[in-house]
Amino acid sequence: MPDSLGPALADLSYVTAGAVFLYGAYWAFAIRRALVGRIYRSQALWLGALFIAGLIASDGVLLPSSSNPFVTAIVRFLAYGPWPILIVFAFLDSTIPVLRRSDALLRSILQWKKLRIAIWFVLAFSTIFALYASIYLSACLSTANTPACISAAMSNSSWFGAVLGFWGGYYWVDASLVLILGAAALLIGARRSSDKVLRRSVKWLGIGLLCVPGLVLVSVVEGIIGVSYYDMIYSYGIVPWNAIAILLGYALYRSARSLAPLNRLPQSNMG
Amino acid sequence: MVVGPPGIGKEAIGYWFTESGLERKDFCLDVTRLPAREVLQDVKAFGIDFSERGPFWFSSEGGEVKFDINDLSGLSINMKEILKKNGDRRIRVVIDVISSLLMLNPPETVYKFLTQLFTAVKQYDAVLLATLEEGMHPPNVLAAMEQLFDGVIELRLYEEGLRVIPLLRIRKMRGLPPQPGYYNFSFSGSGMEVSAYAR
Repeated sequence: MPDSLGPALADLSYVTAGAVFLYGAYWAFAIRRALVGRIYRSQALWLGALFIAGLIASDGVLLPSSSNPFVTAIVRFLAYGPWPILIVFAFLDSTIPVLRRSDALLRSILQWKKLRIAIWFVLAFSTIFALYASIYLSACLSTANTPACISAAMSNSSWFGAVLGFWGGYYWVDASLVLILGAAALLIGARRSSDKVLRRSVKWLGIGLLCVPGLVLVSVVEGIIGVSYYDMIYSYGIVPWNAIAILLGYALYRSARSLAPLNRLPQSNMG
Repeated sequence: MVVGPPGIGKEAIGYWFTESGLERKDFCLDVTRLPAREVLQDVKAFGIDFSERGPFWFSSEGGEVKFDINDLSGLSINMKEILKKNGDRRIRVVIDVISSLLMLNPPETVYKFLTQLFTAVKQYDAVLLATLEEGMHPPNVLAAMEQLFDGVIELRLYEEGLRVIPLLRIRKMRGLPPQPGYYNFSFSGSGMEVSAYAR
C-alpha cells in the first residue's frame, strides 16, 4: 500500500505556505491604499510584491506544464528563475529611502543612490541571461529527450553547458550581493532610525531574511542525503522547506503589519 | 500641529496649506529638513507644482536659506528676520522639523525655541502649521508639544475588520468645544477632502 501521508503533508504545507503569503500580500496592499506618502506607498507595494514572489517561489513547482516550449520556458523561469531576487531588491530599494527619511540627520546609507544603480545593472543582466537560458533549455527539451538535454547541459564543451554553468554561478553572486548589501543597509538604516514602528518592521524583515539561507540549507542537505526529486516536491521532502517558507511568510506578514501603527477604533465617540 | 505616523499625509496637509496660501498671494515660508528637490518630487505626486511659484524655503539643500538642524539659534534668528521683512503681508509658515529637533536636542531646548518663535508668529499674525511624527517621542514630550499649539489634529490608521482606514480627529482647537468625532480624509488633485466617519 503506497504511503499517502507524505503527499498529504506536502499538500497541506503548500496550501498553508500559499495562504500565509496571500494573507500577508493582502495586508501590505491594504496598508498601501491607506497611506499617502510616495515613498511609503512604494515600500508597501514592493512588500506586497515580495509576498506574491514568495507565493510563486513556494508553490511555483505546482504550475502546470505545457506542450508549448515558450510557455514551458516562462513557467520554468517563474519556478526556478532569479526574478524573486529582483523583487527582494526592489523592496530593499524602496525601504532604504524610508529608513533614510526616519533618520533625524538624513544621512545617506552606503551611498545608496549610486550603489542601487550598479546593483540594478547586475540584476538586469542576470535576469535577461536566465530568461534566455530558460528558453534555450525548453527549446532543447522540445527537440531532444531529457537525458540528452541534461548531458548537453552538463557538458563543459557545449555552449549551452557554459551558459547554464555561468548563469548558475552568476545567480548565486547576485543573490549574495543583494542579501549581504541589503542586510547591511537595513541594519545601518534601522540603527539610525528614530521611528520605533519602522524599526519593528525592519526587525521582522531581518528575521524573514534569515529564513532564506535556511531554505537553501534544506535543499542542499536533502540533495546530499539523496532525497528523490519526487519526495523533494511531492512528499515528506518538501515539508521542512515549506515549514521554513511559512516562517518566512509569517515574518514578512508581521513586517507588513508594522509598516504603520494600526489602531482599533473605540466603540464610542463616533462622528 | 498635525500628529501622525510617517506616510499618512501630514506633509500633504502642509503642501496644500502652502499651495492655498500661494494662491491667495500670502507669504509662505517652508522650513524643511529635506532637500528642496525632494520636496518638489513629493508635491508633484499631489498635483502641486512649486517649481514656478513656490514658498520661501529654509531647507538643507537648494533653499533660499540653508537649514542646519544643529543650529537652533541661527534658525530662530533667520525666521524672525524673514517674518519681520514680510510683516506687512499675510504669512503662512510650515515646519516639518520638530521631530528631528526633538531627536537631537533636549525637549526643554526645543520647547523654549518654539515658545520664542510663537511670540514672533503671533506678533505678525501669521499662521504656523507644524507636523510631528507619532511613535518617535515619549508621551510626556508629545503632551508638552501639544500644549504649545492652539490646535492639534491627529491622523491615524485604524483597523476595521480586514480594512485599513485613515481617520482624522481634532484633539484640540482653541475657540472650539471638544470635537469627539472621527473624520475620513483623502487627497485629490484639488486638495484635501474631509467627511464625517460613520461605521
